Amino acid sequence: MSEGAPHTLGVLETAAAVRAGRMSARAAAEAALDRIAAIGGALNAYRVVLAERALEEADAVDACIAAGGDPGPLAGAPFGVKDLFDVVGLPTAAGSKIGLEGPPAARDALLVRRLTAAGAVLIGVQVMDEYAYGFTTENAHFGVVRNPHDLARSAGGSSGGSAAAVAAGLGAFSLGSDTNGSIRVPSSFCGIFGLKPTFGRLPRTGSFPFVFDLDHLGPFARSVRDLAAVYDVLQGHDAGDPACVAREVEPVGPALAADAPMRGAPLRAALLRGWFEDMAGAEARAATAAVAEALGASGEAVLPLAEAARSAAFLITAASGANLHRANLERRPQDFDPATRGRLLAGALLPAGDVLQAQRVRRRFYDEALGVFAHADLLIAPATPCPAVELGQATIAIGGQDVPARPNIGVLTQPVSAIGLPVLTVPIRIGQGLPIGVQIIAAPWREDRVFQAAARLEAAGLARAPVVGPCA
Amino acid sequence: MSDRQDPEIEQVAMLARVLGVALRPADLPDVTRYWRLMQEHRARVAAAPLAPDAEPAALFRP
Repeated sequence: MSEGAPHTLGVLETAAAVRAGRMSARAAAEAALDRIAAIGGALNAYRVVLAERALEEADAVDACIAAGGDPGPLAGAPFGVKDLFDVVGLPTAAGSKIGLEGPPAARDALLVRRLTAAGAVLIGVQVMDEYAYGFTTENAHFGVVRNPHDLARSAGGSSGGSAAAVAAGLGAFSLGSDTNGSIRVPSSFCGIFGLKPTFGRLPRTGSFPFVFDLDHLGPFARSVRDLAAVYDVLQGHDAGDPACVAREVEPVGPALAADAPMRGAPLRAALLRGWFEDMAGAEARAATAAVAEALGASGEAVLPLAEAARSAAFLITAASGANLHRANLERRPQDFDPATRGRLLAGALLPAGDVLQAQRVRRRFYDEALGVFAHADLLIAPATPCPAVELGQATIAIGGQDVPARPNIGVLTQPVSAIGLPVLTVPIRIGQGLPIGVQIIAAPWREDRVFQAAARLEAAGLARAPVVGPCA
Repeated sequence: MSDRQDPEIEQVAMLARVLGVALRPADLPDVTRYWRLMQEHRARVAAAPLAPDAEPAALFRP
């Protein structure tokens, strides 16, 4: 098998090479660290690079293989995590100056432990918006994350560092979080695959919260099979997260193998219209139409409460975030990122009745969406209204008018996460333009369906995520 | 007219005082900007066609 430069290898390619003895895990880790040293400064994807730890973990994988052991399905695959996952020995900053002053974590977050137990090698902690409250990763404390497709553009947020790192080959995969779109927006802007599983699927034990009943954790990768391999390792209930639902592990990887038999009836895909079409620009509409055609979408669907659900998510987020940070907002407001501070303080003023009404809207919208899934297995919608915005860009044109960019980049992701549906964002590139993401959405707990559809788009050559950036 | 005299800023400052939210004068313009944005969302949620006794999703579990 011909293998490219080590930093361009995906999760499964790296694991196969390491397990077969064609490449050491140390060589894979060194390649990722060299790539970070070469171009990491230009992107600002990593806040902390854990070179010593990475080489120790890689050596342990190599030693396991040398002893005839099984290092796990992710053997030697280098990865990074968003700055809200606990990493032993480091304070969990969550993109904040305040968090940086906290005590070092006593152990890794649960999902990090599951990944390293499967042979993956942690190489660093990635830059994010402060407290995950943003869509552009322009962080006053730790700098701006730049898009590897165009350094003058945003990588998206709030998991901007995690997405930029994967797109540029600074690791084979990353872990991020998504409260209102923070996996799907950066996946769209950086042109990679991202999974936001069903709410309650993956345990958040050992991660810093934002909005308790909206926070999801999930992976980024450059191929569907890589994403599936990582997701399968991440699954499994844990009582440490009260919102984590006690379900059996439901692996998606085996069904995606090249020799896997086709099972079941073809999936019925429907294009989401209404809000999801009105808020999409020309590139987003073109990408979504291409996905719909490739999946043989025969139906259309409208969710009349989508706009209200987006507003509900907005209000719940502001109120919950303000509640979480209230003490520090009063004690040391000067230590917040100014953009975050203003939003949180405004959230502290919201009447309780508004938040309750927002929760009612959310419940009703959930019922509305479940009704649509009676007639469709998959819903298709753009992930962002437009491709990556320029850094500092004040407005974007959506719905026929110019609106402030930062609060509106998530207009298409917020309604979907508000009701916890599983979504896989696939990267689409029309012509020579920038990539843009399309959301493949399924009913709760049907991650298998979004993976099946994404694999089909990838096999058709429509969804692709090659390594990009300087010296790709 | 200075920011401090803007009626909307005054309204936000008063609301913060009533609720006991400590706001520095320097933060008022920014907070007011976000508060203005929230009014659109408050209105949209309030206008949603729901029964008064509709069940809220207090802790959301699909």
